Amino acid sequence: MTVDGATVGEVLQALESTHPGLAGQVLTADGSLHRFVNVYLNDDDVRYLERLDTKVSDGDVVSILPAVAGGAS
Amino acid sequence: MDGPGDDSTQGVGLQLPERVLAEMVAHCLASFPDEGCGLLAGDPAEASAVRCYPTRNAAGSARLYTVDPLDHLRADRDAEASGLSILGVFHSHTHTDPYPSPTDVAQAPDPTWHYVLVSLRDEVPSVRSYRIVRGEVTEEPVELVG
Repeated sequence: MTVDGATVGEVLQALESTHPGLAGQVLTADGSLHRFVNVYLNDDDVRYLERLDTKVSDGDVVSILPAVAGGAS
Repeated sequence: MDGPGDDSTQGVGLQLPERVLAEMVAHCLASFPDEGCGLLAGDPAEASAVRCYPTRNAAGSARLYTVDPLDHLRADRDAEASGLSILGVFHSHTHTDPYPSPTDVAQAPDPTWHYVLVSLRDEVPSVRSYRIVRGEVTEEPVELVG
């Protein structure tokens, strides 16, 4: 889907208005990125950019994926 | 069993083409002694995992797995470009039963996913599939298709 926003944080806010509850899945109570969610700007993890302040441009793709983990222990 | 109205645990189980099963088991064997992991994709309307995406285990551990996030992103994009969705995840237990561990249950991210376990404990690998909804584990039948 296509939404407007100048930063990753603004894109997530715009998605929250069309998908209520989404922000609560992605962000913690203090408004930072949840550790069990990975957010990408194109091919880059925004944690290694400027997190929610990462600038987005026209045509950029923001992907939100759950961290998938587990194991026998 | 779950209460009425919980459709996510209903259904006929997981259909697994033999080719996908072979790719999954081969990746788990190649990852040994670490746990191997990957994602399964298919048409979301049918519980049929027609594509296997082996991923790196970012945890690099014999007792834990983390699907490499960049591999996950690439798999998700490739599936979407083919009109498919990620339907579930598989990983190996190298020395234990093919049953979700407390870690697996605690970290299961999606109640609609199929959680496939490949046990390498015995000489012949065994494969089981589960749904994990709000911490409740339900085994589902796996149907091998040609």
